[in-house]
Amino acid sequence: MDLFNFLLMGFAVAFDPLNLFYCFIGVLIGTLVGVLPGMGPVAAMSLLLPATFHTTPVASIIMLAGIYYGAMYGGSTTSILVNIPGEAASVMTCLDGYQMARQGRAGRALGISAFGSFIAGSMGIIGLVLIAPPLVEFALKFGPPEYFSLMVLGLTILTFLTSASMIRALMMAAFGLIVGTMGLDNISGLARFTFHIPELLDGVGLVPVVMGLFGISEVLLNIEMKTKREVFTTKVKGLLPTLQDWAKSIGSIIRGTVLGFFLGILPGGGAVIASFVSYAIEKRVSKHPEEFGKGAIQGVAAPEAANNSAAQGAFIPLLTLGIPSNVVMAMLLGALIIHGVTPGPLLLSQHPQLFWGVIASMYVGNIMLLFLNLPLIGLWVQLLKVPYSILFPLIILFCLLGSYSINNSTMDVAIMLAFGVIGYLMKKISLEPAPMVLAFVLGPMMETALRQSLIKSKGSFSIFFTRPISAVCLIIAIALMVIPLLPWFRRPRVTLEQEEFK
Amino acid sequence: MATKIFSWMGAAILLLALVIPAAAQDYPNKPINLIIQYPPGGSTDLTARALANGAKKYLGQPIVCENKAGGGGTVGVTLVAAKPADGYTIGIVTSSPTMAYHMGKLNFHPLNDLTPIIRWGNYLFGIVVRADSQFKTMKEIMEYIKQNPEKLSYGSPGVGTPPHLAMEELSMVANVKFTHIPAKGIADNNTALLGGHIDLVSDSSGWAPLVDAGKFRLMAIWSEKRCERYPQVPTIREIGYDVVSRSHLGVIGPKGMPKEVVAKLHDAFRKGMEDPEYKAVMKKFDMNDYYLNTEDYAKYQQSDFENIEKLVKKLGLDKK
Repeated sequence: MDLFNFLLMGFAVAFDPLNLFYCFIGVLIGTLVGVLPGMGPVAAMSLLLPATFHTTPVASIIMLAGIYYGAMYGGSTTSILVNIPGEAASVMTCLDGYQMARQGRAGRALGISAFGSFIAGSMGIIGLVLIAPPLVEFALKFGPPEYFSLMVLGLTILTFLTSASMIRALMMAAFGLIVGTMGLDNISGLARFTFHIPELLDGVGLVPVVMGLFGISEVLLNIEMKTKREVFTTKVKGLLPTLQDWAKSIGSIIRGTVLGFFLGILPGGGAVIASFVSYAIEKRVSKHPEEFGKGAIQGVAAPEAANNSAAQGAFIPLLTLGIPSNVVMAMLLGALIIHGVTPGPLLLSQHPQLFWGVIASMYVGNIMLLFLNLPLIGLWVQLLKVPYSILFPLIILFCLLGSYSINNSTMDVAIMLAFGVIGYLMKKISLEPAPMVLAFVLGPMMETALRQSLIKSKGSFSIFFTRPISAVCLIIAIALMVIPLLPWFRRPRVTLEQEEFK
Repeated sequence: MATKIFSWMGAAILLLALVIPAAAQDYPNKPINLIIQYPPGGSTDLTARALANGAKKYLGQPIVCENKAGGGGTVGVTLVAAKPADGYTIGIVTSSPTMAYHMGKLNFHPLNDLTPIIRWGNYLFGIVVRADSQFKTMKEIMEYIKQNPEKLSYGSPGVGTPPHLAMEELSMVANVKFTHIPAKGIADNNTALLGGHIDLVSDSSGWAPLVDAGKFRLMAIWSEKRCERYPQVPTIREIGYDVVSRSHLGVIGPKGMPKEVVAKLHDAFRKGMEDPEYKAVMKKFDMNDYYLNTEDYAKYQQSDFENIEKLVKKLGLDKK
């Protein structure tokens, strides 16, 4: 059988009424949890995993996958309308999406993110089908030194781009790295920065931190500024982006798609990093970087495309090698095993129905999402018309529920509230939270990679410069650090988030 | 004034009601957290998840599995030890925390600070290389490393885990030196070996699917005798080094759990071991049931504790 016949078989599986039904349920739930701040795809999948044991393996994987990529669509809605990331991969969408909403362009922001997501999702699936095996070989070339250097580069790019002052951004990154070391050390298992509080042994969770920094602090800031309310009364115009919008953002969508797809394949990478990096790159290549943070449509299109194609790319190591690249994939792996399917190189030959059926269902699911999202957006636009006196308590309620429901831990709620106050104070003195959050997420991974590299090299840092991929990443990172110091580069740089406070 | 006092009293009573744990009789009345101390997708993770799935039917509440990997499997257990002993947080345990304890790397006592519930499984440990490796047999590896000390690196599930100590013991017996790159678990080691970032892996049978797929070659196993699934693969003992490594899998909770709660959990997990899906997953990794009830498991842990103490001392890895 050739590729065409395999795909045909896949679509036959995907259009089976039962599978179609589970696909719909999956993308619907995915969109819902994506929209709701605090409920991420991981939480929803873990809640629904047991429910899938009663159905076929194909149907259950189709549904679980639908939750994952559905959440990538839904997450943008909350980012744009309320400036709270619906899930972690939509953090970057807040920056320009929310600004667009404030300028009365919410409809077009939502439209471009849905279409961008659809294009990226579709292209990601085609990529998955065509170039899966060779790409995995490439991703495997990334050992600890490459990982470390790539993450250093990612962080440097972000600090380079986020703030008018690189020093401030680096301070925030350092703060994030410190918060990331809290809890038990990954290699030796000893406690660090836990202050003898048992709940802190587990470190600080990402969700409470993000909800505090992006949710609670925003509410606190808005309470102060009563005048901002009128922004929300602006009429939301049509969801279809104009030709001009398309012309501006099509390049961004394609760049975001390609980048996201490759970052999605990397074990440990994925949608969150993809959206951060693609935003940074868009700002870099733009002829008008000063528009970013002020409602640039590219700043919405690129990260949304990136997180969707990353969600597809992440399936590659799972389906071809049996290696999960992130927690979501690990849950799919668990579901496969429980259903008696061994994921790995044999999956394609032993269970072609499952492999091609799931891939075809993703295509079907992406079309469903496009239709599902545009009408559903109307529903969420209604949120804009809700007065702040109702909306703010609701946001706080969702944040409280969301942070509590992850581990049923009151400590997480306290952490979230603490970071709400920290985020409020940070914004008061113009410190951006984005580098802090990325450093916080990458910190533990970077530390493990650094220590493994140094064990391998017996303590010599030369390992980072003798390996080509790692050396290139580090050289670019160093260049980015040095450039702002050079006199001819001392033009005023533009900020990502400054504009929010004006 | 009086109303103020009453309202304070009311608040105090409410707080008390929150603090007093629910009676053991109606346990469990909310979902139970099971902390798995290795990363998702490995042999520990997948078998433990299957077991939990089998057991939950008998508890009437879901068991929520959570991976807390790191520190050679001690991070997850440390977290369990710090939780309230109400039966709503339990964890998977192996011999690793005991090893870490004797190496001075654990800040709680693996026997006194935990409540044993059930012993359920047994690992299969082995050494794998990538299929295109120059080494065809374990003997060739041993000869190469003798000539080229530290020139081969191996991945293990962490410092102080049985597959790590087994390699250390082998190195001592054979008077050779490997470079150790600790990882968080077999899922990470599989990736590192596939990418060629390490030369071999000494870990539990999470490598089995890749061995079956022809990506890895199983060189030797650490058991006393050959295993059912790969009968052509020799044990380390057969190759001429008297080293055996094994580790049990058990379920534990924080210290001081009520007896009724332990009994309920034990019974549920015991029945969960009959679950066909659990059996299928265990078979995939060629792992065996290794059941002991709560009381016998406590005794087993005591003897395990003493044996490991001797081993760690012999290898010169004990706390200084």
